[in-house]
Amino acid sequence: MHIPDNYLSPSTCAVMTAVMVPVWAHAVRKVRKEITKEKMPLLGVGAAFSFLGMMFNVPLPGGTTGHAVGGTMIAVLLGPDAACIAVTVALVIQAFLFGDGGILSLCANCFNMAFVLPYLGYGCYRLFERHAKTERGKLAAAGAGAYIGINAAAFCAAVEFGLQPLLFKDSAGQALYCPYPLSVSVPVMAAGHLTVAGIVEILYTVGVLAYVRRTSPQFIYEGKKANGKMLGIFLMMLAAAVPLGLLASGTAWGEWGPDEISSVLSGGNALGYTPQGMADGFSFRALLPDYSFGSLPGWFGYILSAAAGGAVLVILFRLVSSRMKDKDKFASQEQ
Amino acid sequence: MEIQEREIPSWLLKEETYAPSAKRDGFLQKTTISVMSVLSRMKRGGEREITAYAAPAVRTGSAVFTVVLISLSHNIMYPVTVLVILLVRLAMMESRSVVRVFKGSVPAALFSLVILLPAALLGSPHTLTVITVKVFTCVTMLGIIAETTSWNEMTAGLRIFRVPDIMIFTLDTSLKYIMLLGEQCFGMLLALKVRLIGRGRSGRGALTGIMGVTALKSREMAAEMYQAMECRGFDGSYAARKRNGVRKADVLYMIFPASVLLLFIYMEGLAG
Amino acid sequence: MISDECLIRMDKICCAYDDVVALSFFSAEIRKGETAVIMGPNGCGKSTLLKIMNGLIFPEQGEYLFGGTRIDRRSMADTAFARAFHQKLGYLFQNVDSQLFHNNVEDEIAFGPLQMGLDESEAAKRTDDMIRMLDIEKLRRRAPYHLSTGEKKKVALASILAVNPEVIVLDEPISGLDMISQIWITDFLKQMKKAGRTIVIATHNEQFAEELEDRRITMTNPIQQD
Repeated sequence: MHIPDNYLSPSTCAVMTAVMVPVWAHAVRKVRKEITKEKMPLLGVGAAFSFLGMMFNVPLPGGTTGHAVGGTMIAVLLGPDAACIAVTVALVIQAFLFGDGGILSLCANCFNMAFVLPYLGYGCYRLFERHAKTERGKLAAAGAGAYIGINAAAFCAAVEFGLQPLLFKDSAGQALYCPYPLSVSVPVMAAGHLTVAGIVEILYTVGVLAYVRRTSPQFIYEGKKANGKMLGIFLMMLAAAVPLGLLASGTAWGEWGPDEISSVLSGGNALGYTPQGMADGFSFRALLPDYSFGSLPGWFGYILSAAAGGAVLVILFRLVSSRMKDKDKFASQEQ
Repeated sequence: MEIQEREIPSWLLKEETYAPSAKRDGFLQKTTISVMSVLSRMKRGGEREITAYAAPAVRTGSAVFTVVLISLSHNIMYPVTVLVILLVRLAMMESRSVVRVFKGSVPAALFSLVILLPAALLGSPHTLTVITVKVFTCVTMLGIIAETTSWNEMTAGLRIFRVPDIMIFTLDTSLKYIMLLGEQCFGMLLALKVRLIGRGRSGRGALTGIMGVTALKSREMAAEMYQAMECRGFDGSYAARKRNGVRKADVLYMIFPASVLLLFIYMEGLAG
Repeated sequence: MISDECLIRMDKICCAYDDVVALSFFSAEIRKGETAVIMGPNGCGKSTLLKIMNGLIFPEQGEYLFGGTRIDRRSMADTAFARAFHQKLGYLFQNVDSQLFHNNVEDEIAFGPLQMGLDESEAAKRTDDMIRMLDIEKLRRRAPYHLSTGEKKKVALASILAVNPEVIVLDEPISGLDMISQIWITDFLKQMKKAGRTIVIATHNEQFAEELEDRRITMTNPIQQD
């Protein structure tokens, strides 16, 4: 559920950054207090571990596979504050060094996967674990915590997506960023995460913890009672978001409603885009906002096409000639 | 020394006739390939020479700035123009690097296309084109930066964002551990590959077992690292080394973000 | 007892990683029932060779035939074939930590037989046989992660042999072992030899090689001489 760039408006990203800064500050403070300098390398290790874990393709019964995030699992091993830092660093590495994108949306991703997921997941785990008597019970508690955590994170991502078309539109009324309103994003994200992704998360979390518990149980984090404050703050935020979401979804639904569409039909003046065009299939122009091409001076277009064409030719030529070079690599060494 | 004659069980003396099922298990292959590509990218990133031109902080900062502008732009010709500039840059790079850059941006663009297709059919076709082009441009740009910068320098470059020392420390050490743990993981995945000779529920257990071993190993490594640091006088604080200030190359490089900004202002003016 | 049948044939194998040539026109033949020792300095391509032999990587040029069948990307893309092939070769990695991922020895050994579709009782019998043969009864419920190197190698060998492979491939089997364990492994391999297994060993150790080899393959960087 990594959100890529360009799906969230820069202002949304700025808001998420503002939200994350105090969260990080809190995590850093807690970690500095709790972690002796002896344990400091654990953070880097935790980040590496989180990063690698996201590469794992976990098989599910029935043949599907999926990727887990593992935020709750790391929280169980290292504590939620260290997990927050570890997952953040893993996401930073993915975005910047692996050129995967998601630089602007990094803070939104951190909010979902480095804040909501570990803290809520860990909080639920501790809640359930208290009532668990057996080993199995404790593992189930972790699994339940992971499931709740990932679904809460997915819900947050859905809200972040769903608010975009509501707030950011171009002059033609079309979405600038994610075009799916809450009425679409929430059910879609929920469907995916209540089923496949949620189960992957459970299996991954339980599987790894089972191994660690059996082999070296002393490595599980036994911190002070889970800090209720963070949980409380989060639940309050969630509570505030829900009515907002419902409100927004009501409005958003209206956007796709029959009156909207019919007004376009009757107006029929959208810049080169006609509903008839949609009915008989696409015309290429329908895909592009009209003003983009029309207003540029001709010479600009020529230069652009020349540069693009030239560059593409050079690249293709290079690719072909390097293929041919590979074959000769061994020839000189033949005995 | 007394060497005992072991009793070899009868089944071990006979030839095994085993007819495996043909149903696929793709998860191991996918995982192995992901881990392998991570390792090779990191190796390449670490081996890259520190180039004489602009400092990574400047280049990364400039890239982030451009991503912001692209994201803000309303005119589709803006990311298209930036993309053409990037293509020219790619034409100057080694073809293997170019392939790697596209290996990142093409799937990202295709993914966008697929995700946004329903939106296009429901009344928002501009969004489909605009976002796909933006995604392709941004990921290509970031790919170029990743291919042409030494990664150690790049993490140093991230310090301009005023992050607390503990984060920088975590970042630096995590790169090293991704290599070490990644190699460990990779070895285990290979070993699993030759032992996964049939289907069975145990495949997933093996995968999580590998992750579990990695978790334990990672703690050992962390403990060792701490001991090594102690031997060299570590006292808990981690100060960032000061870079040698602004250089001529850095100033020259600023032409890129400056022109990108001017282009943005011009094009937004046209659209407005 | 060595047959005339050539089981493993490598013909002019060339392999490179990132522009570094690992193997250049390497050829070798190993007959069924033979013990072949591969010797060479660090970096001569021994591990690459063993990985090719086990179908984990594929050479850029040249041919590898196992039991008369080509082993290449195409043949190994067939899942059933690949599985059958992996069952026939047991591979002991140089870094034995790579091979152990269960949290107890018994499950580790039973993994292979269960993969093959043997029922629980068959698998348990094979596990017990292996535990007895390698004398690791006291390790049965322990986690492989915590064992000593010598014990780990025994567990790894047990797991490999539990699927009854035709060929046993070992990468530096005595590295990291104390004298007693070294003697134990040498003796064990002699027994496997007597039982007719084909064995391929990569090693540095001259003495170890002399005790076991029927054929020696010497590698230098990276051009190979026979």
